Amino acid sequence: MQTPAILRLNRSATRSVRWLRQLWAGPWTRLAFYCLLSLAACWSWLDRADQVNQFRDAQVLQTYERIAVRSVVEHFELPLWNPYYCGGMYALGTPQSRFATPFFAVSLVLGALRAQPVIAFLLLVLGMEGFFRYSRLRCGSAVGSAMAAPLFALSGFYAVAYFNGWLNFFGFLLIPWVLWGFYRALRGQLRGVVWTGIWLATIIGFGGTYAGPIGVLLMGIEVARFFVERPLNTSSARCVVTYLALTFGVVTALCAFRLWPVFETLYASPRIMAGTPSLSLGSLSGMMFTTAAPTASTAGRAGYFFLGVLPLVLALPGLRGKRAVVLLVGVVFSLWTATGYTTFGPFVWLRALPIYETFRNPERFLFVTGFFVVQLSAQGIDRLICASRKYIAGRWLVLAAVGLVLSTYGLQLVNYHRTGRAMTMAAPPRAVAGPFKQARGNRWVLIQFEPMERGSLSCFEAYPVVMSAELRGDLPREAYLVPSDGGQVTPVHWSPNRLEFRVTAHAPVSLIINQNWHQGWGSTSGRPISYLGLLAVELPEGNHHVSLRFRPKSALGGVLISLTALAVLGFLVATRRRIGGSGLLSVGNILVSSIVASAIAGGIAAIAIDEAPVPPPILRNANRAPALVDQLPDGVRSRAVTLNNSIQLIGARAEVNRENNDIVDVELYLRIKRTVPRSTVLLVELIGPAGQIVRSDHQVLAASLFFDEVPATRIVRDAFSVYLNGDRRGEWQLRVGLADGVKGGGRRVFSAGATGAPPTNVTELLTFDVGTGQRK
Amino acid sequence: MTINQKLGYGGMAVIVGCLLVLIGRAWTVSSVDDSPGTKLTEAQQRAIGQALARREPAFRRDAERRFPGDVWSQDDHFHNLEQRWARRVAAKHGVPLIEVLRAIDEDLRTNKRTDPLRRATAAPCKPRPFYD
Repeated sequence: MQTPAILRLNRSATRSVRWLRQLWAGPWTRLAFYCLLSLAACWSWLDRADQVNQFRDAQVLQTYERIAVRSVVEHFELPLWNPYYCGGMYALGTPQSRFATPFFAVSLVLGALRAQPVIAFLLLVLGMEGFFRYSRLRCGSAVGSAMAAPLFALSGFYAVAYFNGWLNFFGFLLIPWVLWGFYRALRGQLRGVVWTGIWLATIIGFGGTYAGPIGVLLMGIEVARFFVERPLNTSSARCVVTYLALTFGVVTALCAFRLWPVFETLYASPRIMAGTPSLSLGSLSGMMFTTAAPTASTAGRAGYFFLGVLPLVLALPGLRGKRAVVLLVGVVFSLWTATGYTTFGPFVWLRALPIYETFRNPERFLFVTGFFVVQLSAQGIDRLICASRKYIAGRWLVLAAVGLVLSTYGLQLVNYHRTGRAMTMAAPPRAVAGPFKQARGNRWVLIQFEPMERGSLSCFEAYPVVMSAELRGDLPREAYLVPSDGGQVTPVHWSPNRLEFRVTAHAPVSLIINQNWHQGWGSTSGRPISYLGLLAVELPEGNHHVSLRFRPKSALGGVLISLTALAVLGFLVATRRRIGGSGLLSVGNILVSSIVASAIAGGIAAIAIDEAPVPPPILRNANRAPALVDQLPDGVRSRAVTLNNSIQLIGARAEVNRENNDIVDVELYLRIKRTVPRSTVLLVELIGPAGQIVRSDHQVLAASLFFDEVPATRIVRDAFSVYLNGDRRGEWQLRVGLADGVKGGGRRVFSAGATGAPPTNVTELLTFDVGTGQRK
Repeated sequence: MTINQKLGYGGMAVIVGCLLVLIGRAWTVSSVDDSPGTKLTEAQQRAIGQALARREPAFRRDAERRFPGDVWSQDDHFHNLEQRWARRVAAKHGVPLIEVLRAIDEDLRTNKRTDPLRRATAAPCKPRPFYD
């Protein structure tokens, strides 16, 4: 028997649940709620929207955006070349720059600094709505997906990303949109294919160096989900294969504007990522379940992907059925991946694949874990909504779930606020007018140089930017002639993509510009050449007006391909809508037409645009010595040490550094005859007169090549130096050996282990004497 | 007007309000300029430029020991030491950091360098392949 009070409570619970369902049914109320939450998340960033983030990565990424804005606003040029960093770099080919999306319009209107929180807000709202739409595809009611969506978008990942200035990481928020489109594409919907391409292109255009590849991985999981959820038969498999091929073609065409420049850049200067990053489950749970504790200089690991414990509680009711099993498997696999090399698992396997081989931080796979956990939470709320239709208790459980969700929003917003407040910000430097000049610069305070019209030669990027060693930061003029008495040069025009000079040459001369050469530069006086890596034009005797323009084939061709694909798709889809879709306007024909048209456009661009071929990578040691040689240089002692069946050490040199006798310079010359595992590690030990051991093991030879990349016909010169601390006088022995860097649970294998005893698989190579010379 | 329509219009109004607040705040926010507006005198500029010139060989030697045989890492470490020094000097003189960096740039352009450890060049970018 229920008392009137209980009855009243139950009635109000029923009303509340009904109201809840009504509230989430309409798109505008949902979007309004997402806007309010996103505004609250961005508030601490908005407070200092006019200030500069002082974190080192932020300085570089902000500078990219500022230069892109200036190229358009001040020079009316596309942001293709950035002369302000590293001596000049291909802006569109820089993987982390984020201006190649519609969000750039916000930067153009508000300026690069003030646009940042606005773009973050837009992406947060988009992320919530995208998650809602994707999750809704598999949920019976809108409430679960709608309420769970902010849990995904308000995770600590984005708070930390903003702290570090990694606004390009907000591209992760668009992944649900990619999957939403792909879900439809797998079910034979034309619009699904197009949306997949558009959202993936947006992610890549926004500098999605991690979001793009992880999004593609999740597309693979989406294919697996498709087959789990549907009975597998020949016709569905054929349909999926067809649509996969079409999606691949359309995605490639729509992303070409960015992929072509980026792949070209990374071909010429590949990113090398070695090491065996490992994370325990304990540290991963700290990232997910504790709020951030940032300091002025770092966001720290705690709260790196703060989601909170409550979404796990919400997920419990959702753990039923095939869909839940797939999500649970996803959670386990992504967690396993996030542990990196702790065990021989998915991260190690991924590192064997192209593109994924450059992944550095396994903890970023917590994004996938969180994504699956929040989907489970949505399913859990959904189940409670179903139960509420039948049982009074179910209604109370729904209200409890709402309480949990709101509490989690609160915690996540506190986390945002805390990281936002901890950011080290400063007023932007005041601009100083003057002509552009290269300076020695300093990448740690990069944001200071562009306002004083100085480029910074000091450079750091995630890949080895192709730079001339001849760039100078002290020249009175940024262009000069070689020979210097060959005439006069007068600058006429300067803008990032266009340089003009008047040259009076008394004899044949080279006009040298204090910027890096790139094959995308063209000139009115013949094709520019690389003069020791600098941009140069050879000129005969006489008066010349030399105009140089940066119009790289990869940018023009890539944009042409993407625009052609978009135009053909748009035209055919509009026509199909008007006259109906069959025959020539069938879905397949439309997609094939757009792919073929864009391929033709790309082919025309490749043939029609005259440009020097992309130079192969220049492989150098960390001390700048060439990595590959054809024979042993003079002075190197010939050896014939067989390290294993495939690797022979044919020469070695170890010398005390001439300028600093604490340092020993070592050169090892290796010939690799057969394929060797990539995980092979060269063990190097220097054993001192007192038995002290200095190790210098490495997996990357000559700071440029893994063992499996060394060509069999060449000799690799592996040059490195070792600092000998303490008392170093006397005879030292150099010993080398091999180990497997991934064997045995991914740990670097040393026979020495913790005991300090020398490895057993090490060959004694040579001895050298460290004298008692004066320290310089 | 049905309840759904009312909710819809209410939602639209909230969205427009949020966008107005967002853009208005981003457009108009003007936080206190905490960097002093003062400039270095020419004499101070010269003194700072020369002070770094004296420190640079020591910074470079420190970088050589820390990253033996790795010219880019040495250069990068030097720049880290340089920026820390520049921040300290800026704070000491009560001027914006850009003033100190201009002084260093000016000194590199105007004064002849005799010590090979003082350079106006930069090692080409070659990030280390290991971070863990």
